[in-house]
Amino acid sequence: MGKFVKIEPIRRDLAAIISGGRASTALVDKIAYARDLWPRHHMLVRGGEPAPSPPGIVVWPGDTREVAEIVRYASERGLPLVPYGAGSGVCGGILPTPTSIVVDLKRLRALRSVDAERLEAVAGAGIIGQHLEDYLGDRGFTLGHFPSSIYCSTLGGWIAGRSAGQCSGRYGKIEDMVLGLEMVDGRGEILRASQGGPDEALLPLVIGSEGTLAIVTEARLRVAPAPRERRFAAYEFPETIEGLEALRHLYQAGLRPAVGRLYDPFDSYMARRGKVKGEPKGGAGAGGQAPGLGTRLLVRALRRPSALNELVELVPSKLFGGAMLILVWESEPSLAEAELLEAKRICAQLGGRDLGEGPGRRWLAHRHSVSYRQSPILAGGGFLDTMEVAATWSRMFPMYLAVRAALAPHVFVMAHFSHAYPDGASIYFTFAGSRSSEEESLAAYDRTWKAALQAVTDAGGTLSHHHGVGRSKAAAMRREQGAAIDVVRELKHVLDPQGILNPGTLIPLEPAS
Amino acid sequence: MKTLAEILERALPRCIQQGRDETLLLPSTESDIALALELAAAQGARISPPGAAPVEGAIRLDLRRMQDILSVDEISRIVHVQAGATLAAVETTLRRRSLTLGMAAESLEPPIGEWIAGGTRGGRSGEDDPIDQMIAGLQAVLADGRALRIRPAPRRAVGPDLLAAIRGSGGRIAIVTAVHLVARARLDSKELAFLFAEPNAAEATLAWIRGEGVFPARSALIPTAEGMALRIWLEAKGGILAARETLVRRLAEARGGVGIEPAEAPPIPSEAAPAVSGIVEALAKRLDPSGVLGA
Repeated sequence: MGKFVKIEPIRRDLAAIISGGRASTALVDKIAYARDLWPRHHMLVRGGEPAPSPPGIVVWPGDTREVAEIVRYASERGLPLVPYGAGSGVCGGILPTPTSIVVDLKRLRALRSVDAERLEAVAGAGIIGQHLEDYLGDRGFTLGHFPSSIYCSTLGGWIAGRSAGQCSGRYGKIEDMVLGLEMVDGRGEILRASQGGPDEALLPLVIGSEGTLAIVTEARLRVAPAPRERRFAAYEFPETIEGLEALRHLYQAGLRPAVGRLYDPFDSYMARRGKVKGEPKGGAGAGGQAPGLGTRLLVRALRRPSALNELVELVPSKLFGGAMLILVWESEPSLAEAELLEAKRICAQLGGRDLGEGPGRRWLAHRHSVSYRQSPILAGGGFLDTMEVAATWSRMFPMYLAVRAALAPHVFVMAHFSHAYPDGASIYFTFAGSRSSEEESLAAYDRTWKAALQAVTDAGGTLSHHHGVGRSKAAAMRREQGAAIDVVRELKHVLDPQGILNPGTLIPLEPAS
Repeated sequence: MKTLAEILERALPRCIQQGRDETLLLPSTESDIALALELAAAQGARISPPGAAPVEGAIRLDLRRMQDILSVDEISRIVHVQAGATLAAVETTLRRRSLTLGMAAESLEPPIGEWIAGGTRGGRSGEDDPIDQMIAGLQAVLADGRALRIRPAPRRAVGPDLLAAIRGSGGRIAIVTAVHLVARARLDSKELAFLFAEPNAAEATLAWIRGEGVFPARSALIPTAEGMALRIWLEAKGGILAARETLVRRLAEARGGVGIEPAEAPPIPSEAAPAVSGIVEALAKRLDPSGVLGA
């Protein structure tokens, strides 16, 4: 696509394809669709760049056929397309160019069917997660997928990023829930793939491809009966490593608590604080609050991350309440009870102190609050981000230590372990920093990420467990993936020969070696 | 002009063996495989990967010299093993450590490379236990000789899951040389079997068993002349096992299932090798334009 592209004729052509003519070049739309929730974008916005790279056009197709026509149109002209759910990704997966067409899929939001016997549901990719859960709940079912972004993320976005929810210990990740997909590839072909069908292999290839191979328009999903009741348990362990041992033993013993979350001592302290200041009743969180004195002081302290990390290291773990493990079961009650008894035995044997049901119940009440803690720090001039990586159990604690050590000179860091499996787990690092100017903050943010990703790959971990790669991790992909990156490039040639689907995300911009 | 077998014999001494109907290439390392692929491509010849259908005139790659157990990570319960080893050999190693692959004995026969190329038939299913995975990572050689590495990790979100393209591809995407297999503990076990007059009822029962959180170790739906049989294998500690068994029976009986002795249950029919998907075929052609692996 050349530099001088007349956008208005393209908008008219696309409006003719789409029911209701929903295609826009309005500045307000271009600004709204210029980015996702990558914290680096937030810092640019704070620095006065609300839309560093706005798209040329935003379109709102009404069905799969319209999506296919849009893709064919763009493919014939070499126009880049950026599939868009709710824009809540945190890795820079959305970054259009002035000639990009952003394809917002939120009109594809119907819950088409629920099969109560086979426990399956079919839904449009643009449905907001909480709406999907509400519709299923009305019928007595759950998808079991509860990312903290559930209010502002879509089914299609979950599929694009291989998302995980808080109850992954029972229901798995989104890839475990998808039974079939309808999608449009980069040639504008409508493809359908189902588990057990001839194109079954396409499912794990497209899931997690971050919109670079196909635009998912509809999914057939495995659902479960909505939990009739829950069982809760919580344990305090003297140190993180002991809590990790308990988490490993639980899942390797075949127990499947829906929630298994271990917080390191400082994160435990934060988790115990529960809801955020100003949070409305019900725990929905409160974004956009102005920073108070405490936040301003914290942001100032974050300019000396090494000292802050050392200070926290000096505080005995016990003063923070140790490492806290929260367990929640959502299985059929008799199964949950049997598993709870065994979990209690395992935790006690490994030195855990029983904290009763309280911490689990409190966590559930405020389960989506944590994301909303970012706003005051950002508003106060600091920066904050999260990094979710994964490793096998034998590499878990060394990786935890290595990443902490790599981050400590740059930012203040804490972590929890929120998705466990028989063979390993995910570590969710939260880090915060601050510098005296916006430029220095951006440079420090980039250095932090580089150091963290290097530490993860050196420790034998994988760069992402459920946020995806986007642009924030793309540069490090070669180090983890090696020649696999080139296989993915070839796969993209097959499904998107013009390379128009979400270029620049996931696959690092470098020539194939 | 020399044949490929003669060229390989010279380049890789003692790696060529004449089989009953075909010529075999017996590499000892990934480098041997990469060199053989390079030489075959230069000749415009083909090497038949483990698990591929026989091709007249092609030299068959046989990984019997690559069957070492490279390591057993007892903490993660992951065994790193070369692809020439059989699943049965891995199972023997694991049993000494009170671990298991959790597969039926009759499914353990194939070498791992062939098992993956043929679609991992008989392997544990994520449908039964969504957080379980059997293959945590692998090593392979691409048609151009480059090494492909998928490091072992519980679950990753770093793009497409390439294992999906390799599994069941008949070796056309890559030649798998080593695998990280996830084992599980050997726990108390119980097999249950039910007969249903209505196949839909059997399918619904299995969906609800999974949906209520039972997590069978294995399951099978088997069409019969009278309807459908459902076989369920449970593995758990005593109290949990009993709770799961009770629930399975309740769910099955509520849908008209009649419990039978497992010994009377119909056998699981052998699965046909899955057809290679059109997308995987197209990918194979791009990765192997000279067709050395048969793409």
